[in-house]
Amino acid sequence: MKALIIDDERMARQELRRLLTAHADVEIAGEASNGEEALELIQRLAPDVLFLDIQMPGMSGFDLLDRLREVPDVIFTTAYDQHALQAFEVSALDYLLKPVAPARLAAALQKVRPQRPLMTPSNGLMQSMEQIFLRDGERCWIVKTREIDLLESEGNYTRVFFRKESPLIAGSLAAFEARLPAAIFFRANRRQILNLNGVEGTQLAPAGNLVVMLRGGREVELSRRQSTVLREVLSI
Amino acid sequence: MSRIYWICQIAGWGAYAAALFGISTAYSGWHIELAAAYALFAVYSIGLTHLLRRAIRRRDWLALPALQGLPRVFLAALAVALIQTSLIVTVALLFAGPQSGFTEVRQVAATASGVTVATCGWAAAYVAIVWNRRYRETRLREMELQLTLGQAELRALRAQVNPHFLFNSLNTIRGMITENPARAQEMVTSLAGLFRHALEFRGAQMVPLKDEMEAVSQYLALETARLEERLRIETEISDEAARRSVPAMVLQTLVENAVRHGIAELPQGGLLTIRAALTGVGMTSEALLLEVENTGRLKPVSPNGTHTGLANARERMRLLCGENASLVLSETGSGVVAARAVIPKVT
Repeated sequence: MKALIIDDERMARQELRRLLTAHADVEIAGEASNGEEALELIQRLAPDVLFLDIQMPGMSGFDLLDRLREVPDVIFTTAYDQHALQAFEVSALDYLLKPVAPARLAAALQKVRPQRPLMTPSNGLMQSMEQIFLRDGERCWIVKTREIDLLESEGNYTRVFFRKESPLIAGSLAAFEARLPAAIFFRANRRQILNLNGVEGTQLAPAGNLVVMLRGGREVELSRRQSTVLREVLSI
Repeated sequence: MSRIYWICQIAGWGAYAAALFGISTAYSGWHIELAAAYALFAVYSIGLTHLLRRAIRRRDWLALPALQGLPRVFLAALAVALIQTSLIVTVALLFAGPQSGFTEVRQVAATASGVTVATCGWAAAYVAIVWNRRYRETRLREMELQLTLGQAELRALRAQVNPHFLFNSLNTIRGMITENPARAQEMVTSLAGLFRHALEFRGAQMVPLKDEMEAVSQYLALETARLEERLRIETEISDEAARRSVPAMVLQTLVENAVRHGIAELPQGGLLTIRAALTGVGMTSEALLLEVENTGRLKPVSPNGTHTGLANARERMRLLCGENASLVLSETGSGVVAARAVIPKVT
């Protein structure tokens, strides 16, 4: 498991590095002392997990994640930041408090250890392991793209439906469309993008266009043009 | 406040004039001239005592010690009573001639004494009201100060026990234990010294700058271990300045702000400069100038209280060193934030 340590303090990075020597399966691919460095290293090294300090000069840990198209697993670290702690708590994210207790580190690593990516053929599409970072004021999520059922445009914001959540996230629907794998995410109409893996059935609307039933019981009506496209994709 | 004053004036003098008029009618029957004379009396009494009030306020007699202020107030009241008496006599003689009885000295003296009692009574009531109000205001201010000091103490302590600083320092020490055990030991000592200084802080307290600098150095030693080459420090403190007393924790607050909100937020770090010198050498009151500068930009006041520490330091300086003490935070053109504190010599 390739790890990247991101912290503005050298001693803090070193301490974490020392603590990680107890975990033979963790290979420390690199260290970054600020957000800009981290962006470059993430691009170059494609780490599996980030140890990410929240309070950093210039670009905070959250700001850094906002700028990533897709995110690896993240274990946040913080000495004491009430706002961040609150965000971690309400968002059920993994975090470590500095100074780091070795047992807590082991528990956090256990959660991010890779389960082998599944190659199960569902609709002939590979199960993607990609995940994205979403932030809505106080709360934030690291969401596997395959967990997203539907995205709905609300002006400059997009409502993202996944699991039982539906936060409103800054960013246009077009911007999300560019971020998400085009093989799975399908533009249903001007306002909605749906996850093809979540399609449970289709119906014909009176006007001749398709209505798609998604897992969780949501229905999405396709535009006439996109109905034709979907018929080709699903070969019905 | 002013409305109540006018109501009291009109009601008071009106009632007094009406009472006198009542007594007079009992002796000499009802005359329109008599009514007019007493109405006139009420009007100029209101006017004259209003002028008296203005004189007391202008000259601030009630701010003087009682033995100096009260004679002035009551002498002025006597002068007003004299004017009132002469007006009464003049008006009575003009309207009623000798029939008014004011050709007799006895009658004039009786009127004079009555008016004197009334106007001195007015002055006494005025003094009582003003003093009572001042007393209440002073008490309130004292209570406020007490509260401010208590809060200052608490805030300074909390700033010192700033959890972010504490846990980061502990984390640095944990790492340092393997990398450099001797340094780790020094850091523990610094942390202990810093906490002791904060715990001994009791709000309004002057300490020698030398002692304050000791705590600041311990704080900086810990932050240097954490921020390393990002924190560069220069100090210029003259010997005379080091011997001067300063309000406790003011310099500490300034330095901590400069590091926490300035240098620690810059990826490349910056320079912290601490200067202390006496100004206006040769003059009777040499003020101490404390300057803390850091690389960075002045941020707008953030809601999570960036400037409360500063406001608190300012308040303590005002309490301990008087109104001439000042504390200004400004951004100089070249990307440097400077906090300048002027601490006048307290005698």
